[in-house]
Amino acid sequence: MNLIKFNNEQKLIQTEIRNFAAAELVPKVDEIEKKGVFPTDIINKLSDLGVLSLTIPEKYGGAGLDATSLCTTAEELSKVCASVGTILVVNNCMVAFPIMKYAEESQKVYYLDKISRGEIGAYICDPEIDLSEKKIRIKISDDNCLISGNRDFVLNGEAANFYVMPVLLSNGKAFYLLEKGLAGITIRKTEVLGVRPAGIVSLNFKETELEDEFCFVVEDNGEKALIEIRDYSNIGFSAVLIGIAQAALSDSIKYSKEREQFRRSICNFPMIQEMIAEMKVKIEAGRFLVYDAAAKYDNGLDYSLASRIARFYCGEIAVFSGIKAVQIFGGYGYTKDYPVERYLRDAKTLQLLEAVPYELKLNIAKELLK
Amino acid sequence: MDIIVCIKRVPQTAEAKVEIESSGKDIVKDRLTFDMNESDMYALEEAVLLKEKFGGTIIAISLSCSDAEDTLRIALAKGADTAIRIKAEDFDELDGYKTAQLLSAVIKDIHFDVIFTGCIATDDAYSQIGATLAELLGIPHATLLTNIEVIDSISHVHRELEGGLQEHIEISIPALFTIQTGINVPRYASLIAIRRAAGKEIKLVGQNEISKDQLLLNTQIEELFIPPVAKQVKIITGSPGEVSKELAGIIREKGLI
Repeated sequence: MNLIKFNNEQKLIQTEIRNFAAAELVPKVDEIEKKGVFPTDIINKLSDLGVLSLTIPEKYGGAGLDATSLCTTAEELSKVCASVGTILVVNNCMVAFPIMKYAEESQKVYYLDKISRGEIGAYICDPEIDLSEKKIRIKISDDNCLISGNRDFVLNGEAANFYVMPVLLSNGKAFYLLEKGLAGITIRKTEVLGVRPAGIVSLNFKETELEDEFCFVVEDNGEKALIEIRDYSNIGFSAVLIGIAQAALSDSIKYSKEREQFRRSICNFPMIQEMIAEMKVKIEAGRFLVYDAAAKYDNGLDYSLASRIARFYCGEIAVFSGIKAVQIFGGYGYTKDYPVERYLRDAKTLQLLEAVPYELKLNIAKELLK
Repeated sequence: MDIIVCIKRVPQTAEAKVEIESSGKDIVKDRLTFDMNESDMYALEEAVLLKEKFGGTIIAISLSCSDAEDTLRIALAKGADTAIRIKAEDFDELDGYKTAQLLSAVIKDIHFDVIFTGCIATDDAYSQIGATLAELLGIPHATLLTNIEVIDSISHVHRELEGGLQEHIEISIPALFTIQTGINVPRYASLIAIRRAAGKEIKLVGQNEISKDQLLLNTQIEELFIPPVAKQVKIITGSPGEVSKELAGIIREKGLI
């Protein structure tokens, strides 16, 4: 019995995206990973289907879908290529979400339409603004507001046409929307362990002007908004992680049936069976957590604890499944001939991206100890 | 141009383990996934391309159980205007001829210029529906289309023949065509189109609308079985000269050269 109940719309989307992934992404994934650059062709195709603006309301040109559909889409794409899943989660959860939630109406109309027409946005998630080597310096005068300094881990940055940048100022101004071509911005690609094609970059600002027209003010000087963006994106990233874990399991099952040692398939060995069973149990549990958190969001319930639990657990099991898959593949597991080494690299990277496990555990405990 | 597309929902068996169910007349379907028959996807896309060129409407029809309504909704999301499900559960055992009779019973009351079907279903591979349905409706047909152009009520079609030959024929419409895979590039449904299609009504037609009395079966499955796999391996030993001589003898004996 399947306890996760999708409605008609969610089931149809899951099937269509699965078909898309099998026909369009599977033949390209090796090339995408080898190049390690932002997969513009495949992202353009997904954009035509409305995947990059999946959660944006119809009145702004999006598909107006819920978090559950976001998760089914992210999971299906991430079973083949976690970088593609990551790009869609960033665009929907970290770029479109704060604009939908907090921006002025005119900014919504302008930027959400851009996303719905296929433009990529980036989210500057680096919170370490106090480190001396990248200290953000803000010069406010009567005429303008200039920013200098460095921000790392800009998700989708390689292909983005604009950036959503939290700059929590004491006057309540919290988020700025910056166009790519603004004077004083230089981009440097970050070499990363996993999700290499997802386009993570560093941005350097040299007296870049922040314009009030492209700023939105939120309550609590933005702290609450940052938490909310993180909680919401945790749901999407959990789905990406489940996709990776499932891919690791599926490939392990297939390989263990085909690979023979001592004149029999290695799937007959109890230690292989144990690893497969453990992966399956954890993935089933993780999937429940993902879709439980998504359902809570979709039903207007408090989803923050559920999203942190899902993100923490799915990070753990994606890394676990990646390690076990590499183990089952033996010597071939650490070669580039098979994708399991990628699953492990992607899982470890996404486990740490934007929300590290110890911080998630801390936040889960804080919530319980209130 | 008003177009009808006949759609079948089929199990995806390419990478699945296929087992025979206890009756010996069907496969176990519990663990299989289902999707639109491959050549039906191309038929639907061809209909959408013609509609984009000439305007008109597309009706998607499927004789199937209720689970297939998902497949019809994907057809709606890809460009069909309305969908009809003929309730398979009302009509007991089915074969190609009975299926064509049921489709005909529904289609005869609908205005159409063209009917498209896929050229073959990937589950039973009968390829009967297109030609039989055309005969029952009394309209001309052409099978295995790789190209179609409609000019002034005349359809110019290319058919794929053996040996890489193509046949060009002209058929006046209304007509029925069975579509070969590869004729076009089927589109994916956009998410917003899926969202809209998910809520659309699918018209149901069952035994209250179609009398079962006149329906005939003309085939009956006696047995469905997985052919036994026989391993015939002969290890030839000896020097390279001896091995090659014996091997050449076997090849000659089997008539392979």
